[in-house]
Amino acid sequence: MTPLLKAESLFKNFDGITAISDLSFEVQDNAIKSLIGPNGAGKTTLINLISGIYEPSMGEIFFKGDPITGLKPYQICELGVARTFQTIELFRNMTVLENVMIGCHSKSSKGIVSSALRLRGVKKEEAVIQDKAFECLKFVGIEKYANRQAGTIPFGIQRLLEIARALASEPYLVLLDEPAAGLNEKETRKASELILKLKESGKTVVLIEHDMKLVMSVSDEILVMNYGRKIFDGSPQLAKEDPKVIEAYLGKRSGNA
Amino acid sequence: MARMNKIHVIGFSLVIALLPFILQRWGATAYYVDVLVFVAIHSILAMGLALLIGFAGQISLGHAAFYGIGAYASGLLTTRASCSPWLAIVAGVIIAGLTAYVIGVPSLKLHGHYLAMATLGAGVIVSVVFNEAVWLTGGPSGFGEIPPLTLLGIEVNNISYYYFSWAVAIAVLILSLNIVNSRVGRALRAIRDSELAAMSSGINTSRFKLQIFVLSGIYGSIAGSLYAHFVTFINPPPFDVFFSVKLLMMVCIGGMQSIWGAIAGAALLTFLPEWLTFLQDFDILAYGVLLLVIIVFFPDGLSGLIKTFISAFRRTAINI
Amino acid sequence: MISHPLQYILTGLTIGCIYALIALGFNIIYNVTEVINFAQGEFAVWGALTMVLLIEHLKIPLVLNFFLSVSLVSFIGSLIYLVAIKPMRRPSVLTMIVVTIALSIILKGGAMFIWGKDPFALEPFTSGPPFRLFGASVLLQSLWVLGITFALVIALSLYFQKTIWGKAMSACADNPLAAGLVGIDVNKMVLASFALSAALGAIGGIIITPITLMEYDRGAMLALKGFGASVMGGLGSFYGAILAGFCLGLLESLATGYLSSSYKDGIALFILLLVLFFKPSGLLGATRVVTKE
Repeated sequence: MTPLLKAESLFKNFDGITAISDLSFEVQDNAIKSLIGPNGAGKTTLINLISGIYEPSMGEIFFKGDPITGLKPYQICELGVARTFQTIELFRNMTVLENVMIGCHSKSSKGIVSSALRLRGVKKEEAVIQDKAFECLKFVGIEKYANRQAGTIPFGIQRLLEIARALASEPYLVLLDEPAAGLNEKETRKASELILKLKESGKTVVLIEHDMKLVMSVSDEILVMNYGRKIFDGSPQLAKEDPKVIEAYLGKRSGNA
Repeated sequence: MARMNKIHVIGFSLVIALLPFILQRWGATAYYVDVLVFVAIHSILAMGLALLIGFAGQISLGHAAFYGIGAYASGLLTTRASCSPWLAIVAGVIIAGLTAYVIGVPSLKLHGHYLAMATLGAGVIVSVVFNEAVWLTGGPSGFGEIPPLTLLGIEVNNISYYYFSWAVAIAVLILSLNIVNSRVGRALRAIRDSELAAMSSGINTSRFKLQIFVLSGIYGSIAGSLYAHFVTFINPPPFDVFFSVKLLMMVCIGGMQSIWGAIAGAALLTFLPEWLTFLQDFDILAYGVLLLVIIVFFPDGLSGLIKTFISAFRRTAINI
Repeated sequence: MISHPLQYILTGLTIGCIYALIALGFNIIYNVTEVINFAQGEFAVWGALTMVLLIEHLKIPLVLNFFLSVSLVSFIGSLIYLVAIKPMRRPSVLTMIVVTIALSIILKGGAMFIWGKDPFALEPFTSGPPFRLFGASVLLQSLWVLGITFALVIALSLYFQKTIWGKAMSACADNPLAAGLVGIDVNKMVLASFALSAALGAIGGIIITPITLMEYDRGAMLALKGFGASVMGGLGSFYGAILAGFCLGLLESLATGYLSSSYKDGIALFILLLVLFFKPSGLLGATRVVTKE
């Protein structure tokens, strides 16, 4: 079966620093794949490559079997890939609902001329967008914040808002960059449930996380990175016991476990 | 929100329609009506810039160039080529739009100071061309005898020009408000708040920025054509760098994220020279100080002030 | 005739000096604060015009007038920082652009108020006829311009590399947080950078005025061209600014001579646009400017 996402021999250099080196992997449809590794391993860089923010120095990326290397971020979003950001990138001066309505952008079409002249269909499309956005807020469980200014809501809700916005573009693949960072235990559990709910609704998830409990509880597969390279790719159980993974996190050990 | 705007627009239109009569009652001379025509023209320019700066989050320090292109296009085509004024306006719009496109494509890839400098440089180059291309523009001395606009066989001038220019301004106001309150306006605000998140959410940020840049250039051209047929004489100074800065001031003073604010800012800065005539040439000092004070102490401009007043008023009203 | 190209080259190098000095001024402030000071050109205007005023009213030697004028403008630069820039709390890029534009307008208005609209001249530092060099005529003042600029460049590079203050300034430019942590008073450094930039601008204005005259509204064009040189050399690069300043002066002079003199200003700006559009990180620079973020 064609994997939903496939990367082949990816390299990414920044002015002499190699952030990603010879990275290849696959993500199966409707799977949850976690991306873990020490800080600076290149995880966010990889997400940026997939979502089109960066272009690989070498290598190819395939989505649903088609090459997406070098496409612009908005094009990749249109194809069905959505993402959240490690450092929250909300539209602070808009309401929570409006933030999610932006997510609907790729699935709507009224442009500058029709909007300026308020031609037929504009009002209807707005209503559709608003409804869809509200549904996404409900899915994530934060609909009561709909009319609050995005910059004023609690941090945990902001993280959920990013996910709601990502969902609004009706993606096949959702890239979550540290969705639980900065959350307390209760919030982290909610995030965990939400990620599983995403899988239940048919989506595929690639997840960067440092919280190992979360990672172990939701992942179908784990990809471990260190210094820009893949050091493990497989089931969560085997990841825990893999010597290279242990070394990456804990350093070389001399003697017994 | 759209319904509130409709009421505001209708109310505003009524005020504009009745203003000449009110002024006449107060014994104001026809001169004030002339100033108000300029307020209409400047409002159109300011609204375009507000869309670009306030909503799309870009910068342009050379917008006077589009004003000049519209004015010179209308002026030259009607005097030298005996073209119909209406066709000349369309020609101006096309030229300004193309110019905005050509400058916009490379410029909008830049950000911050680089974008500011690129637009400033482009604006100055256009200004230099107006001054130096004597064979085309008449150079520093300009040219005159621009024929008036005729609508259905009647010449549009004096009081009818007031109504005509404000009709255009209000049409531009409605178009702009529609854009702001639409999917497009939302996309622009998203670009302003976080261009990164906007592009990752499926917004073709380059295209939107370019579209708004071109649109604001078209607004400028229309304003320029209105200028040409009103003043019937064109020379380079009204379209120089300093006017670009004045436009920026109008938007800053009015409040960058407000279309209505743009009109308020335009009105204030059009009347200001009249009140500052005692300062003669030193009015530029006053402008500098005013701009500094506004940007440092009132970054949300007049519209921000009014919004603060209204919410404070509401709060006290609820408490009473 | 062999004199023509050499003449244009020499004129270009001379003019290039003022562009280089203004570009350096831009860089110094930018390096320490990430602010582009649109008022940079006004320092040149004020320097020259202040010198004119002092010469008229004070009967003191030229050198003293020179130092007084430069110090006064340097003081104005510091004042600008203290009054308009320092009080801003985390301003956006647009805000800072508008603030420095407002400042440049105020300075221009002030210059018009004090000196009026007429152009002013300064006596060349040493009097004497121009001398011939391979058929081209070289003004004595040109030698002063080149000499003083050269001396300044050496002095500045020694300052930044060898003196404790200069190194502190470079540290602030590199990493203000770290600089603060090791005990450098970042605010003082920023103040010093404004003072230094203003001084450089003033010197540039003074030395060039005996050749080109100076009037109250030249500031904007000087700032634009100086910024052009700064970008060409890579924003923030010391040697880049100098090299680019000379290049810009040369290009402008040659284009004026061989293409057209009335579009002189347009030519320099056109070059600025080309650099911004095609290589905004500068011909020498490695700074990332056009990122997707």
